[in-house]
Amino acid sequence: MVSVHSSYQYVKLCFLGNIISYILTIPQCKRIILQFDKTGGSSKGLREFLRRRLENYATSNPKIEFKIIEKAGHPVIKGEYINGREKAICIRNLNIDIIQQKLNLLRESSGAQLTRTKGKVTSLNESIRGIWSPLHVDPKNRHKI
Amino acid sequence: MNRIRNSLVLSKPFINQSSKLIHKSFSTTRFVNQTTTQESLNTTQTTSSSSASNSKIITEEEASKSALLVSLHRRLNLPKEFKLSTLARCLTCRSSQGKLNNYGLNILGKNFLSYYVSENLLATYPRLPTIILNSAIDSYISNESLASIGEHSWGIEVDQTPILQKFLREEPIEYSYGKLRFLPVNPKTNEKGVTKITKNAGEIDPTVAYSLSVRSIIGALYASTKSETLTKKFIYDHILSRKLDISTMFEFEQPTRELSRLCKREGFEVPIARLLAENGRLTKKPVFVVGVFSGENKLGESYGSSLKEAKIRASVDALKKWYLYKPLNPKVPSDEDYQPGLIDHGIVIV
Repeated sequence: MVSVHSSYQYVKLCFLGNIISYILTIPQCKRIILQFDKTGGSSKGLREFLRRRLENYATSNPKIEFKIIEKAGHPVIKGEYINGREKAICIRNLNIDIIQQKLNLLRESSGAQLTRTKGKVTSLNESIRGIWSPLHVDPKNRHKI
Repeated sequence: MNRIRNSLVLSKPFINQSSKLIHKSFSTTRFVNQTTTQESLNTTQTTSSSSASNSKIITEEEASKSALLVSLHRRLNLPKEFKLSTLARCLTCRSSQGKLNNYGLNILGKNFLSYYVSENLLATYPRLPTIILNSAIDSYISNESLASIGEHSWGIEVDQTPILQKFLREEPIEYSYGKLRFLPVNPKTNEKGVTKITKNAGEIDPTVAYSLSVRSIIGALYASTKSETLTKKFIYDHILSRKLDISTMFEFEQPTRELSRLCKREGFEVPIARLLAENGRLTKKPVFVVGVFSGENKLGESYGSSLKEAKIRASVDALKKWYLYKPLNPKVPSDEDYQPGLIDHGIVIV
């Protein structure tokens, strides 16, 4: 008789992945918070960005929510991601162009912690070529002791 | 770059709304101190009475003020016919709102989901045993799976901010329309040191709330576009595109016996296990490769550290190959050029 494997609950969990989100162009960044100081000198660039470029930038990125917060101190931009993580960049004394670059960085990021991949290939699918097996080599060519 | 370009092109109809949003976010955070206390008071009133008595209709204008809602709409690439107010309704569970909730849409979505998913699985694997088929369908459309799609793939947020905090932040009521609103299970009891396990009427788990919203978004997509093709595409894109390894779900009690029964039923020759290769028979870790043959045809092959183990594994391999038969380019009944395919005799009864 066929029955369902007792550990099939595991299957439910293992088929998650953000590859699909990438194909469906769901950006992983869901919110960008721009925090600035009303009078501070280090916020000069961000204030200029808010005045001149924010409207265009926000309309060209409709999948991301933009939130502006006024708070004393150095200016910070934060990205909130679908995986629940947050990335913050301090942008004190930066000019308007560099701020836009930093925003692009937050927008393009997946939100995952940066790790070295070390050339490993990870995939949900089995390798097409298969794993080499010494037992399947032609008996004529097999090593004999 | 293509992604960005696409979003640029798509963003055109929403430009006006987005610019509104920016102004809204300015006002929320006291950059332009226009938000009146009156508005904040309204927020408190409506959110505090999260019981069934509150059944306010969310208008399109109100919904378009919620930056979260608009960004979610765009993120899912929903068509223009799918209104923002409908999306807000999809995120409102029955427990938090009176009449205008997602319950009805959820039933519609559930039917679409179970139809397209079971149709797809049956067409792809016509010989799948019922018990495996059911759990495969469950893996795709169970509450847990749908909740993980809503939370980790679509990025829907739960409205958890306390009312006082909303008031202090001067957050307009429209903002929370973009969040999943439901009455969570309240663990508090009057007794000290006692944790409540049972739920009160209307209280639901976050998993259930997420799955309700995902199902109702699918239902609302059909209800607003009246297009089965769009709904089908949406389900294929978001739910059936996920990887599910059905071959790991099988468990056989007597595979060798089941295989010989199968061969008898189908009129094949009696299956015979043959040793294909071996290594280190007299050592601590021998390896045997065994193939199961029916006459000239090899039905399955596998390895094992003993002859018996290898034989059993080879039979399991043969059975899996039988049950997981997959026609080339399978067509489902809802396709236009569908032609009836294989109808299986059913599972082998041992």
